[in-house]
Amino acid sequence: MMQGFVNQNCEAIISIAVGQANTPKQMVNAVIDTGFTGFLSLPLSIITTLGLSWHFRDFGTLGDGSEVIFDMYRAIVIWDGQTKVIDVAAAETEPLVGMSLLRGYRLQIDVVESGLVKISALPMLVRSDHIT
Amino acid sequence: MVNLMAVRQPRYSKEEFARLGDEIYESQIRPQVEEGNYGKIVAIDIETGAFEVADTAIAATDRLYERYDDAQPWVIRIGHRTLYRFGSKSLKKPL
Repeated sequence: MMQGFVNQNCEAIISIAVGQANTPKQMVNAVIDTGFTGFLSLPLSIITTLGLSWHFRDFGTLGDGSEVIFDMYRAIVIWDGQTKVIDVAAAETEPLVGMSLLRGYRLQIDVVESGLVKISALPMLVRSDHIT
Repeated sequence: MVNLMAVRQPRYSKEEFARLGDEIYESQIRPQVEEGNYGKIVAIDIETGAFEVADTAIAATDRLYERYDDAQPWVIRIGHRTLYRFGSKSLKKPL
């Protein structure tokens, strides 16, 4: 189980360890964004600091419906005590955690300033992941 | 000879990357992959035209890099305009 908090803008914040394989990870505070279907977005300054490797490009859809070309990087995150390989989109906003990273988890948010954010594994999904 | 793995980076502008990727997809790949693969991911090397289809972008690009270490991957979600969305559904424009 992971815990985060709700900030003064009523955004749900979770702190996650991000980096490359076999290197020390850096803690990053990210806003949980259920409208983001990817794993994680980071500004290029953090991507450069972490030394993440570029992997591919794609089109992404922004909130106004426009389509933008994104540079995608590869990272390792520590998620619920396990290392996980993810795509990272380079985006000059605050870091965002998206639904691909949350897949298989229950997200609970007490939406009030300083409220509690809880992310816990869904037992059924974890079991079926282990079978496959 | 010392085998140093070069740092991967894009060798084309973003616009050129997308133009080449979409052109290769539409002309060569889409007719082969679209049927029965809706929602799957295709990673295309815009230099060789090689491609890999997988359930995730991570798997598709890893397979492409196994074959072409120097690949320049453009990634498409089959049947969709974009791979990921940031706070919006894709506009209902024709593909």
